[in-house]
Amino acid sequence: MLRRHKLPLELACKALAAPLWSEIDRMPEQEAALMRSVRAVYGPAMLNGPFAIVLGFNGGMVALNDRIKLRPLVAARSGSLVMVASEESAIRAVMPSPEHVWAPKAGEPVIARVKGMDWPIHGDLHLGPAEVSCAVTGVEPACEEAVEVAV
Amino acid sequence: MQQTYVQPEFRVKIDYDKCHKCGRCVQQCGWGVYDFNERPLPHDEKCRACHRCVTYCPAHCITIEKNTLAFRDNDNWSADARKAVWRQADTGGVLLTSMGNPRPYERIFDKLVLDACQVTNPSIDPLREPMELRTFLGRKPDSVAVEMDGKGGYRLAEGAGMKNNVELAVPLIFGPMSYGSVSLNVHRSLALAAERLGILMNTGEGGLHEDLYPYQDNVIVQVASGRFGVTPELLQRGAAIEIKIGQGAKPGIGGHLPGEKVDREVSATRMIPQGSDAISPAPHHDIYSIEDLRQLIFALKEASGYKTVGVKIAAVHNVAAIASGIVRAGADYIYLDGFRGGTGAAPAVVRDHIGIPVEIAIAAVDQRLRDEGIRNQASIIAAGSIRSSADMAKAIALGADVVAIGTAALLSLGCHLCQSCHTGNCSWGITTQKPELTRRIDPEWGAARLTNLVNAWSHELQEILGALGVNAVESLRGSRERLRAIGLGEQTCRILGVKPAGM
Ligand code: SF4
Ligand code: SF4
Ligand code: SF4
Repeated sequence: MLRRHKLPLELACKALAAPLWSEIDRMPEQEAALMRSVRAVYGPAMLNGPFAIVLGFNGGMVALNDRIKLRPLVAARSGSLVMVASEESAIRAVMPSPEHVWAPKAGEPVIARVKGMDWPIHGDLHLGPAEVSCAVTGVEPACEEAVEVAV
Repeated sequence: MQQTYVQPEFRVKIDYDKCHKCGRCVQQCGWGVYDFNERPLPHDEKCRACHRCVTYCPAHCITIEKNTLAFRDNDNWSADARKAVWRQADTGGVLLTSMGNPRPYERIFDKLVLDACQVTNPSIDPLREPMELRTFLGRKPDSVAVEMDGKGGYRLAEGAGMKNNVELAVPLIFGPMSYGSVSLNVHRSLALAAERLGILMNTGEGGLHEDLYPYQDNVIVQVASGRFGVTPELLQRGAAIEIKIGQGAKPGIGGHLPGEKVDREVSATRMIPQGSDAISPAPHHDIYSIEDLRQLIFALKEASGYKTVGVKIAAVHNVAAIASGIVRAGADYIYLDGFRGGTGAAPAVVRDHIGIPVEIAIAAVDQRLRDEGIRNQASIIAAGSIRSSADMAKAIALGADVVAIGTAALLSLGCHLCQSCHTGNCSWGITTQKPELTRRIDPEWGAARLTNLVNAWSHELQEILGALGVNAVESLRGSRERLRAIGLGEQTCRILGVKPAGM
């Protein structure tokens, strides 16, 4: 989907854990049209059953929950540090007071990206410390914007 | 006239002690079985075992029994084979019949079983969790091209995305049954139910009566070899257009609507003279190749503003190769009609001996289209004796997108499968044009029964999906791993792509 069909990572996640038709029907028309097509075309890629998967790649990390949230998934962020786990207590054991903690909605991907490294990444992976920052999508409104990290 | 050797098939028994002598049976029977002389007097030889009189007798005093007349045992020359010879010696004609193939060929659906989740993957409770049945009928693009929408999100790129698909609330539609073969009230019932259920009915080859115009968004209009009732207006009205090449009950032959059924309304809808036989030729005389078919598909798309155009074929030996050609010709869906599919009239020899089971056809076509990388270009509709939600689930697991029901829909309206539709005397008011019979079906009542049936099957399909641990029907489609065969030969299993139980 990403390489051959050039689907953005966010939409590929939506194909794997597709929103419900009842949700799509309530979306604004432009978004609904997009999601209808994604579901109809990539329906066979939809994953069923309970899962919470974490996928690391050279430019960041994706965490994805099944579409009806049968498995737990919690995410947290402090500065440029993003963590995901099945329970908040696991996160707090490592990072006692994160700035933000949130439970992603069913099928809502948490994508943490190293700024300046687009998906898919095939190029130079050696960024200097000054080039590294972090953008997190799929979070609660409180921290939806890209976060510049001072190093 | 010489006495026929064929004895009555049924015995109509009346318990005269209980009989009210009300005469209702006389009035209810479409085939004129009863005379009345102080009490009802049945002529057994006319009875079709349609149970109309039995159902409406207020005294419950009628029973229909099989005529148990003994024949000298002979497994080779069955009683039916002997009777067929006598009938043909009587008349010199082709033996006509109706409804689907009743012969005891192997019923593959009954030898397939579905999977369920245990422990490692939880099953899902459809009463608590969403269980989605929505399905889109039509061609899907190879991929979804998107662009940034300038607000941090994405939108469909110009001209990209799914186009001209028909949305179905459940993966089930009503199969084609023409106005003429069935009554207008049956068409009204189907259209009303299709609208309420968010699915489609199909006009069959007889055109669309103007009473159905309000339901046009839930109607597939058919273009068959006789082109009855086909006008640019008709093409504009349908939600989708279907080119009928063949029918599972009578592959390779055309249709025949006897003149007795062509009354004023049928004649106006079909655009043929009143009382004349409506004969559709066996082939389309403008389609002798895939290239010709492509021309017709695109002519219909042009004429209709690029609606979904599908092609209906009977399941025959080379169905996979034929289907591949049809998809490459531009069809947005293929309707596969198996050899058990129903009919309003067909020669018995054709109905009973031509074609292949739809289960095999679905698997072969789905696999072929996948192998060729064109499965997304057309939906597959499977029909030809879908008798229950289990058949529906199995057909979808074998690779169908949608199933179509005809016989099951008529059963819900009262049909008792007496296989006498071709006579035009249906006591249940279904396959007849006689006003005293057709008024037995009230469209509101009919629509309510059809709606109940489809809702019941939908709930059952949801239960099956839940047991399988999936919550959308697209996850069942083509999922043959979730099927197992019991007692099917190795070769058949291989063609179906299904493992035997235990593996
Ligand atoms: S309908 Fe029943 S009760 Fe009435 S005349 Fe016929 S057999 Fe008798
Ligand atoms: S044909 Fe039907 S209605 Fe007529 S006698 Fe037989 S069962 Fe009764
Ligand atoms: S539609 Fe009528 S005539 Fe045809 S099989 Fe059913 S009950 Fe008999």
